[in-house]
Parts: sequence; structure tokens; C-alpha cells
Amino acid sequence: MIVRKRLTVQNTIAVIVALIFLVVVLFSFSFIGRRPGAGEQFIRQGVEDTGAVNIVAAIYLNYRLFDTIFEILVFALAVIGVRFHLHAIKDKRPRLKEALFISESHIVRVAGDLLAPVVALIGLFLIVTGHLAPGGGFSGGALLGTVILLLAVARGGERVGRRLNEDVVDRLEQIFLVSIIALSALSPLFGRPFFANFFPLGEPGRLLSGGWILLYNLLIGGKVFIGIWVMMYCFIRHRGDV
Amino acid sequence: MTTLQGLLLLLPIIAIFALTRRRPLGAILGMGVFSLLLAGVYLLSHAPDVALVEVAVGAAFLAFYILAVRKKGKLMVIGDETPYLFYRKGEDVAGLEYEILRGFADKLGLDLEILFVPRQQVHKWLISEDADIGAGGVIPTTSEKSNLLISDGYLKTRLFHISSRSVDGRVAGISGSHALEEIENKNGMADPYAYFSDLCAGIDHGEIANCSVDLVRFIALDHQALTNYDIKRDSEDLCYVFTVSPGEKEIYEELNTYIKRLRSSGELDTIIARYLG
Repeated sequence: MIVRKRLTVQNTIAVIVALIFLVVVLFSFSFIGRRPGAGEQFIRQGVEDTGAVNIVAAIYLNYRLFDTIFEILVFALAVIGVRFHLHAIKDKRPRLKEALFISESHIVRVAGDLLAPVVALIGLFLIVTGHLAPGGGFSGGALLGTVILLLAVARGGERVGRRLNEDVVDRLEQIFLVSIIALSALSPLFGRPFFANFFPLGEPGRLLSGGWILLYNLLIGGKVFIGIWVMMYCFIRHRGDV
Repeated sequence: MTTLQGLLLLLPIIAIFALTRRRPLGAILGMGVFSLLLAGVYLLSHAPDVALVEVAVGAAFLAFYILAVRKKGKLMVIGDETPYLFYRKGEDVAGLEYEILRGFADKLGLDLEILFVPRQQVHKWLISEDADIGAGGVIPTTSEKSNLLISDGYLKTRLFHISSRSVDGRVAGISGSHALEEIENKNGMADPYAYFSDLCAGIDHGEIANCSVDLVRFIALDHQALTNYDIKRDSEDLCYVFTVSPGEKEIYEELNTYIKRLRSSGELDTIIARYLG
């Protein structure tokens, strides 16, 4: 049996990959120790330098914003890739199927309606308080994206997708991406080096503090949210379903 | 052993579980558990931000995967109810064909989904690729032979032409290429006897002038009601087959090898004996 043989080969590879993973994870964790010096400075001076209580946000949106910009570019590339490759497939709207299969069970629909606003609120909260507590643009944006997925599961992808004006969303996505990059390039105008914060730091612990971290979280959250939305809409349009 | 070490030991176990699943849904559930455990590891390593992202992204991708599997991980079977071969039994489906397809779907690691439609519509559903396999005592018509993939036969059968001595009514029929085409020309898609159960009722009430049915359906007809009819046995040797959607070449080939294996191992005879013996 060809299928059976292929499956056993697949299983062997799977087990080997998992074992390698086991070794790497266990060893990397056992080697973690406190390396004196590295990071000490950030921990001691982080709040003073950036005005953000959450030291992680301080590092990835202030000290190491340069790295974060490229992370955002990776996500933007993924969205572009999905759109580019799916556009090669011809439009395939649900036909006969829609009436029969999209109507989900009542429980799923009601649960989706109830959960969606709550999850959306949590996502917004994570984005807005990213500089004060764990959270931030990436996780908050991903949560907002799951709201759209939830609605697509509960009410049918086509119905959610119909609300979406493609041109506006495309434009919005570009605006978010460009403004993320442009904001960091504005620093020299205020007498600071590139990628350096030029907003007032504010009082640590207040909502309006931490310089531009709040603004960056909002921009990144919007970018991730719209990116997930665009990807989902592409899947609906060109595959007939999510 | 600390909680962190316990979680770390669990991770590869869950990973192996997820990677070796045959059914896509099991693998996805494994991945979900893995994602959750990994978030726990991050949290215990004092990285709540990363844990949050792991949970959010893990959940989002889980939904994507489940949606993808909902479409891809199904073997959509479509056909009319057929006595002995493919019929409803309470909430469930049973029959000879069902048993073959059940084993076939298990072998491919797909979920079997069944929709009952009239015999004449099977063709349309398969052409539009809304279904993968047509079942329900199929003897392929000429147009089906040229447009669809036809599997090997699994059971020999005959056609029976039934004509009424008294009634000059409608033409009906479920099987046989001539009968089906004739009906399509005469009644169109709105055939009142599209389902076999309707045909049975029609014969019981003596509404039907002419019809042709295949062997298992003929056995299942009420022979009390057939006393007013002339019955002619067709001499042509035919086979019951499965029709496969033209886009599903892989399923077609797998199905043929599966039927061949069932036959050579003698399993097919056991199943046939159970339902028709």
C-alpha cells in the first residue's frame, strides 16, 4: 500500500523532529542562567529612559524598535503573499453550498454573538495598555483577528466578508504600514537619531505615558487586525470558504 | 520536579501525539493543547507578553486549521437511499455500500459525510464537485460514463422492466441508462418519483405505467402490488459501481485499489453475505 508506506515514513520523520525539539528545548532551558551585565542596564534604567512600566514593551518599541520594524515587515509580506497567490485562483464564491452548509447550529451562532464583543474588548484593552502590563499590538491585534474568524464561523464567511469594502481596507492597511515606518523616520526632525522616541515620556504608570509606545501599539494592533481580515477575505473569495 | 519541568516534558509527548495523528482533527486538537502548554511554559519563565501572543496566535491558527479541515477533511458521499446497499437505520446509515465507504474513509483518514438526494441529481452534484462520491446502487448511464470517473464494480446485478397491464400513466424508474434518460426527457428534474421511496408508493397505488429498477430495488418492491404488472428480466449483465467526481482522480484510484483489496482478501464476500445472503 503506497499510502500506508508514506504514512509510516511520515510518522518516523515526525517522531525524529519531535525528539530533536525535545533535546533543543530541554538543553536551552538548562543553560539559561543569569548572565551578569546583559540586560541589567535595561532593567535598572528602563522606566526612567522610556516611561513604560512594562519593560518588554520598552525594549521592543523603544530600545529595539529597529528589530520590531522588520518583524512587522515579515507579517506584511505574509499578507501580500497570501493575496498574491490566491489572486491567481479564479473567483469561487459559494454556490449551491451556501444555502446548505453555511448555516451553523444555533448554539455556535449564539455563542459567537455573545463572545465576539467581549473578545474584541479584551483585544482593545491589550493594545491600549501594552506599555503598562503584558499585551501590546501584536497579541491585541491577533485577538481582534480571532473575533472576525469567530464571526465567520458563526455567521458564514461570505456574510462577514460582504461588509468589507476591499479598496478601503487595502488602503487602510497600506496607511498603517507606511505610518509605522514613517513615524520612526521623523525622529531627526526633533533632534533625535532614527528610531528614537521623540514624544514626551509622561509619568510612568499613567495611561498617557511611555512616549510613542502607545501610538505604536495602536498602529501595530490595527495593522495585524486588518492583515488577518484581508487574509481571511482572500480565502473566502478564492476558495469559496475560509 | 517543578511545574516548569513537568510542562517541558509534556511538550514533546503532545508534539509526537499531534504529529502522528491520522485524522486531521486529532492533529489540530493536539496542536491546540501544545500551544496552551507552551504558553504555560512562557508564563512560568516570566514572559507573560510572549505567553499572551502564543495563546492569541495559537487560538487564531487553530480556528484557521479547523475551518480548512472542515472543507478538506471530508469525504462527501451522495446518493439515493437503496435497500440493502445504502439506507437509513434510525439516526444512522447502514448497508453494503455504506460499509465499504466507511472502511474507505477510515483508510484515507477522512470524515464520511452523507447526503441523500434523488438518483438523477447525483450526476449534477459530482460534476460541480460539491460531492466526491456517488453511491446508492449506481448503474452508470451513458452520459455519466463519459463525464464521471466510474469505479470498478463490486457486485453483479440485472435490470428489471416493469410495465403495467392496466394503467396508462407515468414513466418512472431509478436505474438503467435508457430509463433514466427517457425520464429526464419526459418529466424533467421535477420527477415526482425521484426518490426510491416515492417510486414504491407509486407502484403501491398503481400510478406507474412503466419503470425499470435494478436487482436490489426489485427485491425490495412490494410483490403484492406487482401482481398487476408484467415483469421482464433484462439479459444484460451489469455491475453496481461508485461514481467519482471528475476532479478527484486520487480518490478514484484509491477507491479502486481498496475494492480490489477487499475482494482479494474475501472481506467483500463476507459483507455481501451479511446484507444479501
